[in-house]
Amino acid sequence: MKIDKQETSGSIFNIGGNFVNQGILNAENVYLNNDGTVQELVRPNQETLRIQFGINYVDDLANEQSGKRLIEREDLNQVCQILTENKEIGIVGNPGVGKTCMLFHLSCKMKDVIYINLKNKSLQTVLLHIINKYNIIAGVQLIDKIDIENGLELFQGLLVDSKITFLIDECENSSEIIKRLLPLKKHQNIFVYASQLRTDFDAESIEVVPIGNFNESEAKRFLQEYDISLDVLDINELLEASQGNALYLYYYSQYSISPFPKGVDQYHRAIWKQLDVSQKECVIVSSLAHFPVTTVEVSQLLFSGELQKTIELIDTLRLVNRLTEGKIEVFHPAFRKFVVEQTKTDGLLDVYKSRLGNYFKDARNFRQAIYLLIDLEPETLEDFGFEILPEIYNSGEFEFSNKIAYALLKKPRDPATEGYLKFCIYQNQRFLQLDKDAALMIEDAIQLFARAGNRRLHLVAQMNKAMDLVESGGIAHGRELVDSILEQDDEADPEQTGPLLVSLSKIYIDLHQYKQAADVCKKAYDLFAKQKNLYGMVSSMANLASSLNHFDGYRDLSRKYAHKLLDLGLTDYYFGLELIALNALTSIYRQMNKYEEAKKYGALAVRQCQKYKLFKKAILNLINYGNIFRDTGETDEALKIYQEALFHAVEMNIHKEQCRIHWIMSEIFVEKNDLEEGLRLIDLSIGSAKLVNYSYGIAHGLKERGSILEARGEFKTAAINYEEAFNIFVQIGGMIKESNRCLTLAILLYMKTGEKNRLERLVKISVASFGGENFIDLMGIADYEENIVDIHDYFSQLNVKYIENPAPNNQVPEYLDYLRYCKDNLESSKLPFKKIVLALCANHCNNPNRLSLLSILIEQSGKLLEAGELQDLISEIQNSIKSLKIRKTVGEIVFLSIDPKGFNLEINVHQEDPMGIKLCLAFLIFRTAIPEIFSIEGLDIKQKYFKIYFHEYDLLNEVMSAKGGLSLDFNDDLQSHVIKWQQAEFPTAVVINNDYEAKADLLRFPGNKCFIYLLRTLGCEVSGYFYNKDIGEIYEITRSITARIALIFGYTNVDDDAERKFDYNLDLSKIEELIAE
Amino acid sequence: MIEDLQKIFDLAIRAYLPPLDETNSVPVLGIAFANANYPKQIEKILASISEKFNLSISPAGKLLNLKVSKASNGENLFDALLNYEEREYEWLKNHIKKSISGAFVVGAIHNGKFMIVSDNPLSFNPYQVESFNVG
Repeated sequence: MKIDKQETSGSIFNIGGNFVNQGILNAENVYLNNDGTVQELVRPNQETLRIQFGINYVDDLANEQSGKRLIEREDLNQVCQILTENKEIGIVGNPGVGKTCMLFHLSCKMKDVIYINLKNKSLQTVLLHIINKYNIIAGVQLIDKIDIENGLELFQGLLVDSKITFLIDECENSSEIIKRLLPLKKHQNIFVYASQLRTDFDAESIEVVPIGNFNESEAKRFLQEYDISLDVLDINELLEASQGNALYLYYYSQYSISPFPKGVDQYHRAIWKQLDVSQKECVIVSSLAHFPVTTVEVSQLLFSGELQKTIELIDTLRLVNRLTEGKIEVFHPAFRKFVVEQTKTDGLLDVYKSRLGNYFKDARNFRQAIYLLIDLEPETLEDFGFEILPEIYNSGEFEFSNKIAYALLKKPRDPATEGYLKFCIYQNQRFLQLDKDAALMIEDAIQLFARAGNRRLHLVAQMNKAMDLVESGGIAHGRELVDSILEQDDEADPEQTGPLLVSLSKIYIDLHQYKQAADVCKKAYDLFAKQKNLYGMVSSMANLASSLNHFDGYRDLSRKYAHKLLDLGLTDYYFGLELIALNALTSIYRQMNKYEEAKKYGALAVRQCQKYKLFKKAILNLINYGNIFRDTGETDEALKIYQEALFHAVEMNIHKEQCRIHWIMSEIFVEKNDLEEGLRLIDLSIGSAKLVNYSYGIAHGLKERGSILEARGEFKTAAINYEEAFNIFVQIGGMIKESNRCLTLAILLYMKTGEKNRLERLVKISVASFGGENFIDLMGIADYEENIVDIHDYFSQLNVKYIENPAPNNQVPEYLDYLRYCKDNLESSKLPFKKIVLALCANHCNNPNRLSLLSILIEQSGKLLEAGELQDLISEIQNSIKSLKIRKTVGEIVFLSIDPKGFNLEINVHQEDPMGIKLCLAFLIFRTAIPEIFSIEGLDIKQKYFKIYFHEYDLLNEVMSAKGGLSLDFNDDLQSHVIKWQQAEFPTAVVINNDYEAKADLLRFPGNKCFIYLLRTLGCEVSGYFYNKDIGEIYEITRSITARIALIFGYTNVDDDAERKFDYNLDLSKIEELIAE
Repeated sequence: MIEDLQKIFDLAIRAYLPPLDETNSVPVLGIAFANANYPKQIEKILASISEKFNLSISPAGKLLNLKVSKASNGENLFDALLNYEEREYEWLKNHIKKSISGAFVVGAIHNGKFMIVSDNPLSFNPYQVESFNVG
């Protein structure tokens, strides 16, 4: 079973489960006070939340409609009829035709109703409201914030087995919200949207019921309901003037005006004229305010606090609705609009806005004040802008939050404040998915925090950047940044460090760096233990268990912690953690081939998901569970489980998961040799992926389709599929292995089918990409018999590209690949290889990367460079490396390396010893690349000339046999020794094992460190001589050089510490103590 | 008939209690509706009853509770809860005796003003109140 094949996109089959984030470290938790000090934002407690979300907007709706005598529209029946079949419906009509009334009627007919008016609400507010409504019913903890994606996911999960009618009003204000709600799968729930705009529903094919004005009989019924009986003449006149508009008729019943004004707008005007000054002001105040004002506020504004007077005014006014909690609101949006327009025409809009805004500001109701004052009196933002910013952000109004931040940025600020504002903008832009702008902003913010010396915010900003990088595939950069964050982070601020570490561990997991992740988890656990933070401890233990099971030698420990977690009995509170433990155990037992145990925990995990209705996680766990059955060869059982996962994925409308499940199922059928079914399933997989632009899924699907088609003998279409897959992998970035594989497969098929044009095009693409971040490597095709591409020609093109590159990277691995090809085809490769080495040599331009590459190629060349070739090489080196003088004496070649600081190093090698010559060249060229190999800053030079010999071990032993011979030990990494030979005139010599070239062969032993060892020991010996110091001391001073050299070879952990075994043992007693408390 | 009356008076919105002066020697209660139609309908119904009435007003919360019955047999005709001006009520309460006779009129706030509405403006008379109780 090739389960490995599936471990492609990281977390999909990451049986390690999802990490629990112990508090995301975001700047939303902190805010700057007006004096620039950083404050902790006080989060609302459960009681506050319960009050806040206990508000039932249906009550508001009922209050609003209570004074009215409504008639049931004839359309209502049609709406109800549609709702018996469809779960979703849009009600569309002009202002005042009675959309809200219809929602009210529906609310009376339905059982569980949630009514939401979208006016001035963000998607987050809406989601919070809905989710907390569910939470109140379920009697669980309420939440005070959520991000959009999680919120939608959660909402989708909740919809699965609820039966609620959602009435969503005034959608015309919030097309964005509607766009996100429409695609949710509604299951047994009913959604009714009311909007003035039909276009809101164009994208999704939901039934739309247009609501028009009253027809004559409805109008009459309405008037009858209000006990208004009119003469035929009057009624005709009224119907003509009103056009049957319900709002107009309602006005008519409430504000008797003659002659009849023409249309609703004129009616507004007529009513307006009737109002006295305080009535007008009351209406203006509630129209201009962004959120409903309270009676108390109106009383303070209009009657210096006389509440009774205000209440009377509101009662007689009949133009504002009293909502719950003493709030009032202009009773119809159309009238509100009119009032604003009218105030503007009167030239009083700014006056009132300013008065109202400043009133709110003085009353410290900044949330209301900001909307009124931001354009009008931006200077007032100085007083409260900083204070209100996090609140606006938390309410999900990102664009407005941005506006505030930009307004505050207009004034010159100190770096910390400017950084903070830019960081806020960055967060908004991320939510608004303006990734490019966000990246620029965070960069600015990081620099500003650094300048300000604000360590904490600097770290927060860097962490955010690192997460972005990892998410967008800039994995290498992300990793570097994370490493540097970890270095900067001492335990100066333990409160913050814990969550920071948890975030870090998530990044490491994304990067598949489980060792580092485990390290960080352990650190986090110890920190949380100090703070007695039980949740922190338990979650870091779960995370540790999860990461430890990914690398050898620690699975027992991982299993121990996972079992411990289950035993702690805390899982009722932290069921997410139990899931992690179960995941880890499933994975561990699977790796141990204990499938029965694995099945047991896998099944438990699935049940747990179902119990807590975590359907999305259930899908993941079902897939994991199915994988075990696949391992054991029970494919039918596995298929059943995948089917169930698929069912949930379809239920919840998660296309990404559908795509994954289909491709797994396709693989199973392909294994069963049922190519037809495999092809059908993979097409489905691609289809699902395309629906949500899931690039990885599309690419993977295309690749699989390619392989099925290839198996069916349809080579040309298969090749096209591979190539498409390749293109997508390249676009995703960071998928080098996958993209190269697809490309190779495509090329092989093009060769098979003789598609020369396509082939040449691909070679060109490959050459062009050399030196960039994503090199499209074609060397893989050399291994295939069908290959018709001239590899030498191809590689010499790459070499030209490398030489032309003004800032070449370290490209040792690519050259080694070529070296392998040359060694495999020795005779035909000698000349082309030599040409490449000579070209590199002639064009090194003192670039360290080119020089070290040249050095390694010479050292690794083996039989490719023999006496004849070496002759040419030496001539070229004399031309192009001025600091290296080479001459021949009797039987020996003398290399003299001249250093501007005054070291002169002479190395003598036997003429008949090509290996010695090559190593000597390699050493001296490497030294021009990295002079620090033996030149040390800050030490005084004591000697100016040093002469050493390079000897082959056997040869030397023969010479020495008369004196008893030498006895030197060599091992895998140790193939050379520096020896002192006291009797000789020049006592230092390097003895090289005859087997050096075989043992040091990086193609055969990719991890060998023979050359590094030679460079280091000889380097230290030489500098010890020049500076007249003890070798041990020199080695200590130049320690960091090792890592630098190793990097060139592509090793990362040459440091001794890296080899040390980590201690991941946790002090479990602490957790028990805490629980006991 | 009487049910219709009550239904209409449910829609009444405001009470006017003008002070006594040269033009008003007896207490008069003005009952305002939002729509000019209602007074006309009331006129039709009350005309058929065509009797004197008993009327009492008393504050109920921040509204004024109005009760109207037939003077002949005390049969309740309708009651209503109306917005009112407290000063007007206080003035009246302090200036009239209990069970004084008076009148009431029914009108509408039309084009922003309180207007008495009648189908036959020429023969219009206020409704006579035998005992006007201010409690």
